[in-house]
Amino acid sequence: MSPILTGRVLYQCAKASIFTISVAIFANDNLFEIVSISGKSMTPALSPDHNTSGTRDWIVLRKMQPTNNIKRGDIVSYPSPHNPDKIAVKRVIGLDGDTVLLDQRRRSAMPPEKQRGWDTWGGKCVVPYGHLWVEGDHWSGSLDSNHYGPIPKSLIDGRALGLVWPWSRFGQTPWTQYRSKTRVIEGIAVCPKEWEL
Amino acid sequence: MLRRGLGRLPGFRYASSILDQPEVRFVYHASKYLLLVTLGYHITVEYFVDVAPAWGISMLPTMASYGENVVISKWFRRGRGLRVGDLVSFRHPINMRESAVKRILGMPGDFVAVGGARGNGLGGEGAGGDMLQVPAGHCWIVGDNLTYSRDSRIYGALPLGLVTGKVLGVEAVIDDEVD
Repeated sequence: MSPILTGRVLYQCAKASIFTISVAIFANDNLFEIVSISGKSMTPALSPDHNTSGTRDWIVLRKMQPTNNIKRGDIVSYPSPHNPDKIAVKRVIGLDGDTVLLDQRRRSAMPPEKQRGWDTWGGKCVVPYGHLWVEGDHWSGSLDSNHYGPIPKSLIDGRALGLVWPWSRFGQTPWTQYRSKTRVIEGIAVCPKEWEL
Repeated sequence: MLRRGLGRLPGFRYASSILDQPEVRFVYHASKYLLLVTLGYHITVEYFVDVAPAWGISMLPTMASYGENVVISKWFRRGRGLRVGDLVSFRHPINMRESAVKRILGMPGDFVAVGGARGNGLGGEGAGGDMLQVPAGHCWIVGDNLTYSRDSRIYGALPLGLVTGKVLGVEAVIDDEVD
């Protein structure tokens, strides 16, 4: 029997790894999660070099009550409405009650059948109660509310706090300087009568 | 155990320390077990099975209006393995802090008829007499008590990302049957 790999040592290692994994899962679900941005929908704020050198940015998300005090311009993560196994990271453009005037420039980047769907909005959308309008910063490569409409606030998983990788930009929030070109007429959300408790 | 006493490795000599006090050892062991129970509870309830109370009239006669718990399997969260006819629990699309239990009537690609009770057009298309196709990644959920159920006929197709699990069974906690 090898002097190092006894059953007792293996047992202790298994216990320690199960404990560490459980703590990681708990922290990941309830406290903070670190995700990598692997698309070009949020360039240039996040993953600006993804198409050229393949380097991705990693951000830390706050998982506790992510839609508490949410503001226009925050970055949120949510399971994509068309494919719930994928996590989408986009910027909040409109809160509930706002009227979003859709950005015409984004229409030209869509394939024709999606353009027809886009036209059914009639150029603007009033965000219903309990929903948000999210958009990716990059006008041509983003699957966002322009495709699937406003998303429910309860779908939101996490809110971005800062970058963790690349190390040179650790802790920064490069997305706060960006002002979206989509115009929003601010409004007040009114809870419809049938949902009042 | 490899260690004798808290924080000690075999083969070393230690002076007696604060870690030998019975009160400290009790707190250490109690917090360790509390932490393990919390972690175990979280992982079980998030990823395996959860039991929660359910109330409301929208699922009569399948579920009573109060006094019942639902047993939810979390394996089916986010729509994995769900089929038409399953009872699912989901985070409410309008009231963020609530969850609800309803039945799936259409999975992505299915056609559902929207007739009967009219909603107020809360983002739901075709309220009244239309047929619509459930989009990709969404499901159409309806309560069993059609007259008194606020469901997809009012707020439209539900994103599968909101689905937290499938109901395996219902457990009656309060039994008001008159014998």
